[in-house]
Amino acid sequence: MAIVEVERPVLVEHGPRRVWSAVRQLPAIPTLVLSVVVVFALFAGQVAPHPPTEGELRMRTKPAAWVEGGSTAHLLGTDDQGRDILSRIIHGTRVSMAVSLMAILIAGTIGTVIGLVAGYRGGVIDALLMRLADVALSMPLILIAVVVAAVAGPSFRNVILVIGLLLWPRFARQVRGETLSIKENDYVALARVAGRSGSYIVWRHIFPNIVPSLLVISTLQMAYVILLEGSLSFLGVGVPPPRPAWGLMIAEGRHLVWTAPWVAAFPGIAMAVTLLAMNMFGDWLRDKLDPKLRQV
Amino acid sequence: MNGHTPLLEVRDLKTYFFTRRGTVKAVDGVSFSLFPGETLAVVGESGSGKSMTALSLVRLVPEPAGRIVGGEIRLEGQDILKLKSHEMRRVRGGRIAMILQDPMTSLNPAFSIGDQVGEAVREHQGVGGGELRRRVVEALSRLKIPSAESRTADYPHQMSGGMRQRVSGAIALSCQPRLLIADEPTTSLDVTIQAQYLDLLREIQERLGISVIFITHDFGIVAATAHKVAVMYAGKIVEMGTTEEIFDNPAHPYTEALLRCVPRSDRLESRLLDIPGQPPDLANLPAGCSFAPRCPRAMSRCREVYPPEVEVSPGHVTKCWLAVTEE
Amino acid sequence: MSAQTILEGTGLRKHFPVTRGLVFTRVNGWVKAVDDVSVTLQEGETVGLVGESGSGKTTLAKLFLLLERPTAGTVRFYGKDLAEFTREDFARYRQTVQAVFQDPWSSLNPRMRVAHIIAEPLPRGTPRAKVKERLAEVLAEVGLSPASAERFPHEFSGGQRQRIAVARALVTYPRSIILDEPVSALDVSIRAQVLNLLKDIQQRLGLAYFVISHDLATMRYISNRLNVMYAGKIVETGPSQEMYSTPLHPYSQALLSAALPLHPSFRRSRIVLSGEVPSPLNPPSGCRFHPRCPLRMEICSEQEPLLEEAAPGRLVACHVVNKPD
Repeated sequence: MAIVEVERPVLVEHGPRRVWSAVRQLPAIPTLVLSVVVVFALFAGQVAPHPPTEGELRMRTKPAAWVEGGSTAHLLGTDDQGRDILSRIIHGTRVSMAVSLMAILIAGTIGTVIGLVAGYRGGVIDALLMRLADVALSMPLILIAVVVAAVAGPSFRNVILVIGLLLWPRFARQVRGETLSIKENDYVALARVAGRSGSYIVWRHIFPNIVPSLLVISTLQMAYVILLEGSLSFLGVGVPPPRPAWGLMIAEGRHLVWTAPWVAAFPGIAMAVTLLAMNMFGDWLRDKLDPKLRQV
Repeated sequence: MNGHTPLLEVRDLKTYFFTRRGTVKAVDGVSFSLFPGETLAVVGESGSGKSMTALSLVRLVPEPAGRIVGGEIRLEGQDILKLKSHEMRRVRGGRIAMILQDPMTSLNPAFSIGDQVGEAVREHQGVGGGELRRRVVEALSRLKIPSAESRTADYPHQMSGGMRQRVSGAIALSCQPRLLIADEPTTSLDVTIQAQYLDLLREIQERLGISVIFITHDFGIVAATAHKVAVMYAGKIVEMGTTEEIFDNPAHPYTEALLRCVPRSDRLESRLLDIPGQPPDLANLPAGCSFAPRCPRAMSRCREVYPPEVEVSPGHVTKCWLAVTEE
Repeated sequence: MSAQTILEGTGLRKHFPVTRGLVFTRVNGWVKAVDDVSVTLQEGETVGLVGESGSGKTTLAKLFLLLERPTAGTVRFYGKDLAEFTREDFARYRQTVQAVFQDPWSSLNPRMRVAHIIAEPLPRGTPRAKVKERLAEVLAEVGLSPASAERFPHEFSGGQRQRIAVARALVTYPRSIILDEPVSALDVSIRAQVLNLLKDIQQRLGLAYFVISHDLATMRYISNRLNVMYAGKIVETGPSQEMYSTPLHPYSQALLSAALPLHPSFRRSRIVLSGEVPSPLNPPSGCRFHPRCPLRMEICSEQEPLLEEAAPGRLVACHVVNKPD
């Protein structure tokens, strides 16, 4: 009965070699930028040359170091309260990262659960949940954030909740679509033949297979959330001062646009670069995880 | 039908894929000739290189990983590998036409079949208006699509698999190509529909004098349609000859094994002889003959040097050391 | 000693409603995928079900695998009616009747280790040691190395994946396996391997197989009894070898003659059917095959033929064949 299986040795790396070969494939620039952002967010206190909220009025409205009138003590200049812009930008990454991570966590969890249930059960439940998603999608996020801030006062927590509770449909739709197609696989039918329950199938069979695309959407949505947070801060309904947030910095620099444009420009550039890096990373991730392109 | 000059002459065609894992030699030195009106069946399993050979003939090898790295493809004397891409585009669909396996993806679901056939006719025959419509209906009728006139408005999803393959056939044949390449066109069709389709193809071929290259893994199709057979394994043609010769006197152990491992509906087999092991990894071919690890008659020489091509009988060649020693 | 009947389907029907609207649904018509089918499977035998697309063969398999409930008719498992099953009965059924599907790529979850895939049908409380032991046993049974258990599906070839699927089907000590096109998606040389493996396992373990396929040659190689299905109905049934040497129903004859010959000199005149396989939404009246049948009579378009014994052990549903003379 022993069958001569001329098994082809498969070149699948394991352990540390696999990690290194994965790292080598990362897209250079986006990863570099994002690593810097993460380092800033985690070690803002140590990295920033000056405290972000205390300003030396002596040094106010100084331009960037390479412009005449600037000084190397403040590489990107100061605002009209004498606060170092570079340090504020560095501390600002904390707000952006924290808000986007937590909002995505909320939106992602809600969206995934709803998407899985809608996709797997189908029928009336699917229809109801998707109508719910439509309702959430049709709400004007910024307007609601303004109202919430007016009623309950602007706060870190409220920003995260508003964004999280209105962003989940994007996750739900994608997850539902993938669930529908994964459901067609024979291994799902075979699990049913084996008598397994729906929740087992969803958790052990469907969910692990949507994780890759979930990662992709999360990355791309994080970028969007950072932009959202920036807009909310700009309007004054985001994370309240004195915590430095990029959007807030841009708002504060608005009236200085003609006399000291760097006050608004640098945080804007920081945001744009970060968003670009995240989008590029997300695109790379999507291509990487696309099974069709995985061939050669 | 064995005319004067061959319609198609392929010499030492090589198509390689350059991947992280190494160079995949999908087509590795393939040579054959095809005369007008002849049908050549290219037989092999997955990984044999048969489909990639077909794609190479129309220069549709997936880039950038894949590339035709060597050889000649002479269509009516002209080396089409040397053509510029716009010239090749005229050849493709015009002088060489292709039918693929999956009718669902060969046809665009967003356009009616009349539009799709019409596009091909307009592109290669340059007609329009009423004359175009007439030729579209004619193309569909030639493939025996019933009520062709009214069906021009139908969409692919409204038709059965067999009908869709006929539409693919109509598109392919609408420009009166000299060569038709059919890559597993009946694999996804029901048995009774397959019989209809093969009969139809043969009839059309005989009437129009087209040469056909039929890519398949099914020896039944080979027996029913082909004049000549080329058996491929790991990117090379390991045996080639007339259909009768191949069936009656297979010279290569792989051909022999393939013929013996197929169950038959016309008699009861007590035991199928299976071929142990699996087809080789094309990026990591063994030294010597690629079939040696699975060959029941492999000798030590087989594992060292790839066997040369040997003529077993007129028109019947094989690449096997056993044939060499028998000379 | 007569073998026990594991499965018996009587008068099975599965009709799918064609509906419009979601909340206030209206039924527009019925897809009669399986329409009054009776089959049996006894211990140790291989019963084949052959048919083309739209014949209903896959739906019939789903009925036996409890993936669908019959619209009408009964399924008996060792004599007990499915409609009267208790929870324990269902559990025992699932252990006794296993499945192998066609597509080796879609049958295995790419994110699950082979060990978990194979062990999935085992009852929840099975102790770890027993699971490991059984895993090793079935892997050996299908000719795969024990190290395969820790790998993932993408590390295996198509033929090996079907072996994994078979190993999984064996893990609960089943008495029968329902196989839906078990080798159609495999390369020719691998098909022979897997078919031989299936035959060997059957011999060793005394299993019964219910094999569904469109490939007549494969069926001839492995089945003892054969059922031919067309448009939701069984048109002929009987011992395989007899059916292959003398098919009685005109559809069986056409099917057999459409199966391509294995030698170029056999380009004999075949029975080439005209027309298409009928749509299950709107089957022809009377005998469903009559629009394509070369032998049709007037009665064929009016009255549905019933399965009658045309010869000892051979049942055929055809007015022409069963003409009383």
